[in-house]
Amino acid sequence: MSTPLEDLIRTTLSDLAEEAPPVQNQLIPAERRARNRRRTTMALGTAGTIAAVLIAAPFAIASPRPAAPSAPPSPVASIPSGPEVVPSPWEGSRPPAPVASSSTGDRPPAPVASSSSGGRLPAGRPTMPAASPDAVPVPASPGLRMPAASPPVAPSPALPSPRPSPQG
Amino acid sequence: MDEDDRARLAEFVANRTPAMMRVAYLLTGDRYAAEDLFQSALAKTIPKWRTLRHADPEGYLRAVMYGEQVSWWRRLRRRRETTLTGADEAVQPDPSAGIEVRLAMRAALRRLPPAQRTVLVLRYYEDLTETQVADVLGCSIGTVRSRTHRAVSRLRQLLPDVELLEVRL
Repeated sequence: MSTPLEDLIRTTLSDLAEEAPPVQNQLIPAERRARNRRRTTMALGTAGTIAAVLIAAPFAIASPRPAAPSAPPSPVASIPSGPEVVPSPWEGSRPPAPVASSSTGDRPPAPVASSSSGGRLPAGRPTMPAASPDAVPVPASPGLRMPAASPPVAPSPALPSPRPSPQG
Repeated sequence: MDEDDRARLAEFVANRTPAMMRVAYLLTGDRYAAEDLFQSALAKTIPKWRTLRHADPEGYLRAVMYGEQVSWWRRLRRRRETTLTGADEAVQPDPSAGIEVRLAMRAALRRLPPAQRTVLVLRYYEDLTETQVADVLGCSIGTVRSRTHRAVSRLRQLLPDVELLEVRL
């Protein structure tokens, strides 16, 4: 059921189609266009990737490092690591058992942390026992401060030993 | 693309170029625009030739051509070239009857928007159903119906005395 207008449209379109100009050899220009399209696509993709990297790099550098949580434990753990070196001369007078027990037996994680932090704070940290300058005049204290160096456990029990010495 | 593929592509293009150019000419209404449209569609088909050669390359090429005709980018470029086209259409005198009707209809078809003209070409030149037109254009059947209705209404507006002319046909 086609209306006269639709018939007219069909007739006109058929007439127009017959008037289409004859063209030849459309393949070569089409291939040239395809090459240009591919080249443009690749160039735009590369430019977009470079732009994304350039934009994202400052943000990635400025963002806080995830290593921040590991930083707090390191000072605590580094303190026991320092005295470990010092007490060796006192091992003769004092029973080596507490030193060995404090460094290894009491808290296993401490040696691990000290080894990791030891690399980060090579020589400066071992002098951390200077945080208790009171004990510096008494040579025995550094050796006993090994357990004291671990503040959460029992810092004070290690100090009692220096006290008797000045009194006596 | 190896030699065999390229030979098949060249054969396909040589065989189907006249028919495709007719469709492109109907879609654009201009010789140079038709060439440009056909080359653009062919340039998009060539990279996919390996996968299309055993399927339906002509259907793909037609679909690309129809999509290209109604694309937004092409509409922008066409707007820039509007001043260059249109003046090259010399009206050929036709001794056959109803010349004025066809000339008026031809001018009216050229004034339709690309999307409406594409629907008319698919429906009345390619004789596709509304479902097939919707598949080719990637739109819904309702869109095809509305575009067809708007195109016919626009033609009636542009040809107010078409009813009288139809009687003379």
